[in-house]
Amino acid sequence: MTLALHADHLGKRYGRTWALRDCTLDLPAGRVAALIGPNGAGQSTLLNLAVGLADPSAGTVAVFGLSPRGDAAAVLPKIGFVGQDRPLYPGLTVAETMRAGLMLNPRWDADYAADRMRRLGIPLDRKVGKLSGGQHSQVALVMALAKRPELMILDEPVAALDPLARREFLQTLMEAVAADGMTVLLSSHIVGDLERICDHLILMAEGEVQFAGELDRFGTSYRLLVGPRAEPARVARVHHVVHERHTDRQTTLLVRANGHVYDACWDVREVGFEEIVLGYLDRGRRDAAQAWDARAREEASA
Amino acid sequence: MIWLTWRLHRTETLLGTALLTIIGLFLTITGLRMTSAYREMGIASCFTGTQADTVFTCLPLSSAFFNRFGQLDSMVAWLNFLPVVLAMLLATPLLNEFEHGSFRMTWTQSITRARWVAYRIGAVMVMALLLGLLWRTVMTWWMGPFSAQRGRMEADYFSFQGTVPIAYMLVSVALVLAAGAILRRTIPALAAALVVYLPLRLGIEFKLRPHYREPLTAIELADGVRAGSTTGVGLHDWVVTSGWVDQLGNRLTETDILRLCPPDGGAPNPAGLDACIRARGLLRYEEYQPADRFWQFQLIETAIYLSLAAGLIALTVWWITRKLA
Repeated sequence: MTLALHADHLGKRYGRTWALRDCTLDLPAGRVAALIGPNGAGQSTLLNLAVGLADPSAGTVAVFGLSPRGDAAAVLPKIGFVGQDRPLYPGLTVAETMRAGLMLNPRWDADYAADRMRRLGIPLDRKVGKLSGGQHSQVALVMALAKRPELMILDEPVAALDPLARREFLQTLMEAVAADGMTVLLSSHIVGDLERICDHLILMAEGEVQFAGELDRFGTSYRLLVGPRAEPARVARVHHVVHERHTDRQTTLLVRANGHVYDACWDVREVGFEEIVLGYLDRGRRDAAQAWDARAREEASA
Repeated sequence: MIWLTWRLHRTETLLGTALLTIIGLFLTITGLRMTSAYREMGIASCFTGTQADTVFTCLPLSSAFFNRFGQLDSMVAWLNFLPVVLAMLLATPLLNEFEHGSFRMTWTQSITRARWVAYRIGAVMVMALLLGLLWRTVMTWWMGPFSAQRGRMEADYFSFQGTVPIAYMLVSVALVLAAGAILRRTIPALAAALVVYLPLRLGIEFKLRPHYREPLTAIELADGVRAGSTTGVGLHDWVVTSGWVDQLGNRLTETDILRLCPPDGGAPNPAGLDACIRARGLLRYEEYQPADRFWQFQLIETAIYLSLAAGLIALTVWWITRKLA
């Protein structure tokens, strides 16, 4: 099994804050992987490290076995990247942007790029800065795809797009995947999209990887436990409690189950992909809130 | 990469070319008028004679020339800003790139960031070098008539000739680039570069340059006037300071002078003061940098600015490759 991406205790520190900590994960080649997590969980940092825009502060990262920074000349032609702000040169026309792509890459599929632009109806003589958000994203995507990369890395590429533009964007991406069989690593908050197009999931929270593996395996190991109001201590001894919610009379737990849940006081239910993800996201937010509270208390007592 | 570099710098290059054309036209027209006047008035042949000739025949000609063209000379002082203006035009495309993060797109194409740095910063620095060369060549020709009469050491002439204009150009560009990389906002970076550049130039010009070497001292001869000037300092030399000494060779301060020759009744009376100073046997002294130190001073100042430019470029490259992702 070839690994498209391999991170080993990877960490990145900006000043005194760790944006990513002790991240270990493998992404086998050929997968379409979703990268999900609450804001600030380190997804962007991980992706920037993978394409060599950032340098690790700890651990290592490898793309097809090569270091993105050390072997940049060998790694760069293999990866396509669409960054969070979809950077392009606003003063260049679409045609000039494509020409830049041709000049900057040894393997540049000019026919593909031209064909995409034509089919999307993007005027070649328009300045990139004057394109609509959807068109801008498409140009950025085609810039990455026309490189014929083996690994596509996309950092929240559809966050700012309307639903139609989002669908078109993902369609372009998935057509390319179907044609080339490349590996994709895509971070997004739009869970529905990810569930539809991805077969692999990397879930990050608190700067660490919570789950990394096949999407099919993901859903089956989680359960929703509903029962009378109780502290989850007993459940937590066996299963990993992701999220808990209490009302006056009732407690709902999202757990990553370790085998069957035998406790009779819980009503055990199947749980959907989106609920699990939201559980993690909410937990991340709560942990962040708790961290803030703790810090505020510390500062008050100091 | 060469095409992309050119394309990204096209607008600013055209703007810069237009600016240089306007300034070039102005300099050509005035320069041609000056050189022909200089020749026709016979100043050129006059200044090749002995020093005695200089005083009595050349100086009146020279002052006639300066009456006619002196205003141009002071106008040209504004052109001290040209290197930094050109630097801004050269560097703005890169600054925009730092601001918008467009470099992230280029760095994730197949070209390594070392090559990107070499092309983009290299191109700007080479352009700066060529512009500096052009600038000094044009200005050396333009200032020819002035420098033939007043030398090349004074700030107004020194800064436009020799090798320093090239060094100013390179420092300006390096400064703008460093500010742009660190601040990552184009307009504040341009402002910051300007704010640093002016005090730097003025500081070096007024505080450092007079001391590149120990100035020579000339004291007026007790028995009267020497040819050319009272102290024998040549027209092409650069007088750094001047004042009075007593018979024992002690330098007198302003207060000493006022104590010896108190202004009567409070009204300033230059003739009276001069007579009083003469009556006390005080002598004029001048500290000066002789004209033949021109190249030495040029090389010292060029070296200062070049090392500054190298440091700033190193900082910029380090900042771009380490901090800017």
